[in-house]
Amino acid sequence: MSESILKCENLCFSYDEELSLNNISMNVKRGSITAVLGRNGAGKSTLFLTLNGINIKDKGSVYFNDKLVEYNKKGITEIRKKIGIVFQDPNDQLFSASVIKDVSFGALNLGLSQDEARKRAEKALKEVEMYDYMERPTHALSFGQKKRVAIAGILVMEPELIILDEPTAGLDPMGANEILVLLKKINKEKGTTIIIATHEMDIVPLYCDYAYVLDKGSVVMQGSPEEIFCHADELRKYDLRLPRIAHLMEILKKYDNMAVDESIDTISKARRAIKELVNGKSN
Amino acid sequence: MLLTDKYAYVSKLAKKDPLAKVIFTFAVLFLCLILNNVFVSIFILIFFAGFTILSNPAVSFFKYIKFMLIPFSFLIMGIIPVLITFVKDDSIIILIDRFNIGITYNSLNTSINLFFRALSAVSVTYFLALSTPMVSFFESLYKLKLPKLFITLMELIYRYIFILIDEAQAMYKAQKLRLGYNSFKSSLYCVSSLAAMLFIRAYKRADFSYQALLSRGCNGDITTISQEYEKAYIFYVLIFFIAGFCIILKAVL
Repeated sequence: MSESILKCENLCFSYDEELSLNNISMNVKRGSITAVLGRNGAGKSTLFLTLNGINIKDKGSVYFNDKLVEYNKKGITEIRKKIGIVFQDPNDQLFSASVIKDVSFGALNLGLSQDEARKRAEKALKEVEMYDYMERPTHALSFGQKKRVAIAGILVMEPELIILDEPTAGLDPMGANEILVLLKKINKEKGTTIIIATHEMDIVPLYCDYAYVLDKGSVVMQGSPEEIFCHADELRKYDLRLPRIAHLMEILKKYDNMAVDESIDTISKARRAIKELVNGKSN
Repeated sequence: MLLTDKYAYVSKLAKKDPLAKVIFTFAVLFLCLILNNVFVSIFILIFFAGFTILSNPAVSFFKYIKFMLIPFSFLIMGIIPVLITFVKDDSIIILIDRFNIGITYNSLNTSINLFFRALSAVSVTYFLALSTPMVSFFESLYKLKLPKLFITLMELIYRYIFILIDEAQAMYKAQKLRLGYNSFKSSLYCVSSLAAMLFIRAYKRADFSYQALLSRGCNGDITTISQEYEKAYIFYVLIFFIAGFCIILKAVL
């Protein structure tokens, strides 16, 4: 199979006269974790809903596994099986008062039998470590637990690509970290491709292989996290910022004339660089 | 309803077949209403109060009394007009002499009967509410072959009530923090804006939820797996025992 799992060319969509998505072209690699960055209202959510056929595109083409996606009834059903979206607010997504029932919903929509759906739902709940909460009512769960159940509700369909809209929003640092580790695990073990929409810049170099920056409905920057964070001024133009560590490196270089590499964006890389710098001086 | 649901989850009967419980409850309810006898009502009231308290470790005697007090005030209000009537000659007490308004032997009898009948009916429904989580209740409705759309709507409404309450509470707090509700006029204004905002939010949320359902492959029907429940034929047997006992009670007394 080819490297690209999802490709869109010149994708356009508008709610009214104004274009909400303006000639979007992306290419997402199979098995990667891709970040979609952009300020509020940049068109991230609209893009995902358009990919999934909930918003009907005006123009452009989408390829899934190198096959052109036809946005007719059959094609849309097919693409929804392959691309799962986890919404930002789990309360929007969880519709049943019982956890296991909610999770099983997607599996039954795939046409699986009751037994098979139950097995898959239990497996998905185990993967997100919510198995013990199976019988609990949804409204008795905490926000982080709801988020996990929402992810399980998508995992149960075993999609090839999972899109998460702001997976860490509203979670405490521990909870956010756990979700990201969970996503990384799913990505590694099952080879599921993941797209994350976020403003949380610090997680991008840690978890993501590639990043797109969206602004006013167009792709304005793309590249590996290192490449993107080299262009601090451009990022700031789009109301985004550098990861804290990258920002520190920028300041060290600019104002303190220290010879640090600007592409350093994680704590471990910074640690190595600082150690080298200190040891180099003492030598 | 929200409160009883919390207790229902810890009941010893929560895992029992909900359909049996629903049929049991409605059969007894029907019995209690058609027999229309004070002693039958009192028997059912005591039986179900005991049954509920014993089967649910979270419901103590006092908690049960508290639950019973909720419909109590409505009940009293409803009984007063029955109790106080125009008196002809069989009066017990005459309250307003000029208009011949007072309590008669007949009205006293009817109101006592009504009181216990209503209270016993409430105790029967409380039995169902405190032993069957709503989720299980919906499942029994599916088995009763009620229209699917109807039950699905009930399920969705039940789930979203909690979100609506959460949002309303958050908005209410936010209004209070900005000194809302501190005068009669501002209270009126705050309530109206809260209601309006809730409508808008509900509309938006409905949109999001619909999108979420679509993206999970919903095709108009909401199907979920049905849960396994322990068989509970004992309830069917109980119906006959209670019915027999009540009929004897009515015949004898």
